[in-house]
Amino acid sequence: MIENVWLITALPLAGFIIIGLLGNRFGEKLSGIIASLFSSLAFIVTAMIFIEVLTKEESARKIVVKLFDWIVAGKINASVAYQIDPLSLVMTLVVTGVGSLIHFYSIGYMHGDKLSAKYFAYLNLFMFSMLNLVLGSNLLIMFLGWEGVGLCSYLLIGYYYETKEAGDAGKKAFIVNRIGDFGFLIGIFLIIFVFGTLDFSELEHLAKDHHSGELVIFWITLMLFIGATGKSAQIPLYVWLPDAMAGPTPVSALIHAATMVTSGVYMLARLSFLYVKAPETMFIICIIGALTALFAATIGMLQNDIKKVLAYSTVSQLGYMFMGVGAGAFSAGIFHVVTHAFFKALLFLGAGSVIYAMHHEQDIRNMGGLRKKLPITHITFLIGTLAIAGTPLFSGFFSKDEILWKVFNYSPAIWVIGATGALITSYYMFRLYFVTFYGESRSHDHHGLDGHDQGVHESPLIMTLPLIILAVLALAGGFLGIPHILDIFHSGNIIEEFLHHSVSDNAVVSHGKYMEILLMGISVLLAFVGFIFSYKLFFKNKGIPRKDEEYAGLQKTVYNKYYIDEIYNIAFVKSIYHFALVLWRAFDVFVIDGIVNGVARLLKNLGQGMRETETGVVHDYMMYMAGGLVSFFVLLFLFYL
Amino acid sequence: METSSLITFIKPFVFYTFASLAVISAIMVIVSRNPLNSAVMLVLTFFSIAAVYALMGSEVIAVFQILVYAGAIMVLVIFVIMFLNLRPSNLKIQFNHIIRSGIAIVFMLIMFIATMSLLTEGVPFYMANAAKGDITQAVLESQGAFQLFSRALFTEYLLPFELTSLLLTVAIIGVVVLIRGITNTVATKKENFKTKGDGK
Amino acid sequence: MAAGLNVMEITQTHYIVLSVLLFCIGAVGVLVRRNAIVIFLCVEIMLNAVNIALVAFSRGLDQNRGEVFVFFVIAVAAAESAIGLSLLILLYRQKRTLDVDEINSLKG
Repeated sequence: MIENVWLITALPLAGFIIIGLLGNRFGEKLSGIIASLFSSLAFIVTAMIFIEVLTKEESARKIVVKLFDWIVAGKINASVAYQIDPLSLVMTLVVTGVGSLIHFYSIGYMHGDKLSAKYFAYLNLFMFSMLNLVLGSNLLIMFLGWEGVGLCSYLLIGYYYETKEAGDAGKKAFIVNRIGDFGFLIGIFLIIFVFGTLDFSELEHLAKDHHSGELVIFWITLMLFIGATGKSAQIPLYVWLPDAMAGPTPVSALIHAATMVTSGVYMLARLSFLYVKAPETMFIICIIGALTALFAATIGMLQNDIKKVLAYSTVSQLGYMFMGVGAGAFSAGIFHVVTHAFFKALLFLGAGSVIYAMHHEQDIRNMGGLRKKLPITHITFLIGTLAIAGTPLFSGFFSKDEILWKVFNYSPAIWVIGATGALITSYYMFRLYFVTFYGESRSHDHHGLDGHDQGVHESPLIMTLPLIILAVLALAGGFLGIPHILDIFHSGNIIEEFLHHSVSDNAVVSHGKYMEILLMGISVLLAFVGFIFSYKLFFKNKGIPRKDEEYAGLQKTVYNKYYIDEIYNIAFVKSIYHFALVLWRAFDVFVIDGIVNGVARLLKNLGQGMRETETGVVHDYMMYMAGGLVSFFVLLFLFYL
Repeated sequence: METSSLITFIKPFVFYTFASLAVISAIMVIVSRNPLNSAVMLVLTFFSIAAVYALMGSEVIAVFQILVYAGAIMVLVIFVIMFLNLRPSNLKIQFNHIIRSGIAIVFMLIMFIATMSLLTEGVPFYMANAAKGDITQAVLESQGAFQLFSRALFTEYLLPFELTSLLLTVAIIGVVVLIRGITNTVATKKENFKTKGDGK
Repeated sequence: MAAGLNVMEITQTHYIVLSVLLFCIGAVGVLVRRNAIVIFLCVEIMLNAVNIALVAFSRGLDQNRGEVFVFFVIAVAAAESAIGLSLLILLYRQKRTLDVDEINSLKG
């Protein structure tokens, strides 16, 4: 089965082509079914390959399947080849599995949208690109996928392109990502320059000759990390992700929570053999991750748009992943990617279900009391919330604590930032949960004048079933990576052992296991404190978030996302705009246009002159020919004379 | 020995006769006013050239020259001239204006002189130094020009030879399509005109 | 003319001179005549001039490659004349003239 790995990417591509070409004839329902079918087939193929790989020896689990040569130029040889190893398999399983669930969910969510064939085509194209990113055996294929997911992200954010907000958000995502991609590209060029190859296996082999802390490795890894900050929404390039919520909610779940945004973490894990040689970069990654985790969490505290809260929480959770990776715990980072994919996809899909039921109302101040009306959504959303808050035995608990434990060993100071972030996460997630599902209904729905919204009812089965499956995964996913001290079943840390051969973990554990239990207790306590705050404010006191204009002081600053967008606007957008204006007025109009128009005028006059020679009379043409011939002979004559 | 020396003796006279005949009749082609005269003069040129070929020892080409050029092509040309009924009144003086003609003649003179001064040195030099083949005059006389030529044509040059038949077929079809095409277009135009006329 | 040209011994140079002479005459004819049929005839003269050169070199080098070439040239010329003459007939039908100076629809 392994040699048929190309099926994994070919199936979504086939879906994209079929739906893209014939989607309008199929109609929304059939397109959705086809897209889901191809996506689930890819999942089935992946699962079969996964099972086959599991039967192999641990050391023989890395298989590269070469399809064909793509670019052969000098010493660069980039072939289209897919690399199967534990790391890529874990990611592929998540992408195809969660992706398929979201495909099915979309059939229900996009019901009634006339253009949804386009939506499903893009979704399958996204799957294709993402799987290329994950499976590619060299950086060029990865970059192909990297750009492909960026494009699909742009297309899907701007899916409701009739609204200016969605169009702008799409453009913003694209441009901010381009800044990151620029770094990524420079990283690739540096790798070509230094190593002369882009193949992961060869790179890993060649990297052994380099010493830890070499300057060139530092720059390579830093540049690649800049690419990761763009795609994975880290400081300073995170600004596009909250805006990306303008896209359809399943897209937010798939692209902007579960898969695409984690590709930065995946890339770092894939190139872990390089990163372990660059401790400075690792430190920067760790700091950036921690700051992002805390910073985004604080913004999340005061957001009132259900999707914005989840968006900032995604940024924050991505921060945790980078924190872990920066501390050298690559497999812990990937573990968090997996569990995050489960619970964040669940939360987004739950939010989508709420939004679907509320007829596209996204402001939690206008919700409330949905517990009874949306029972399945409520329960699954609760499970998601518990998981992300770090409740023991839920998946988020294991992965987050794994990261925090490794970070504590790396630097206790950064751990403090991360732990604070965990507290805040717990607070704002329960705030979201209580305000949305408890209290009185505050809907100004058009169905009733006094807020009695008869129109609100549970979503259809095709939407709730993925929710239930994801809830089970969010509940149980954590048992893939039970820490050693809690290993009562002696199953071991499955995911860490599985990933052992494909990532180079270099996290040191310098503290004893009592410390680990203590830290675990602290983080559970912090999560509980966050819960208590929310409970008091929004359950006991039945508080609801204030109206926009009531915020003041620091709260106002946080509510307005620290005015980061405005600062960026002034610092970069405006300044570049004015600089461009000067260039346009001074340089472009006079110098460039002068040259261009001058050349054009010269050519025009020349042409006008030459036009006279084109008389249409055969004799004139023959005369030119004879003239040429004669001058050729005369020249020959002169040379030989 | 006797005959051979006789041939050697008269060869220059034969050559000069036919060469000058070819040149003069070629000049007549371009100066005669009636295209029919030009065509007849060209036939004479072709015959003279055929004689030169024979003198060179290339009877095959001499025969083809007469058969194809003088026989087929020129008959075709004369037929066309007669079909088109180009009476001399239709032709009048058919030279370009004087300046252009002057330039053309000067051009060609320059070219002739330039070429000649290169060739009179170059050709003997080339002939003396180039690699020679194995079909010498003696071989040619013993085996016969036709046999040697045919052997080359049907072995080494078989593919081009077959392709020539394709080319000629294409030419025939091309001519038929060209002539029929025009007739059809004219017919359709008339048809269209008719329907338009008694239509709306 | 020059040292290579002995009047009483016919060498390859003589044939080449004849060839160049005929070529130039043909070229002058193409350039000065206005009747399309005569231009066509002059092109035939030029072709023949080239054929003479080919045969002359071929004989001079004791091989028959050039003669085979000439055979093909003649075949192509036959095809060309068939097509060319039918084009001339079409041209005459359309324009009622064969004066190339009056046919200037190639004008850019």
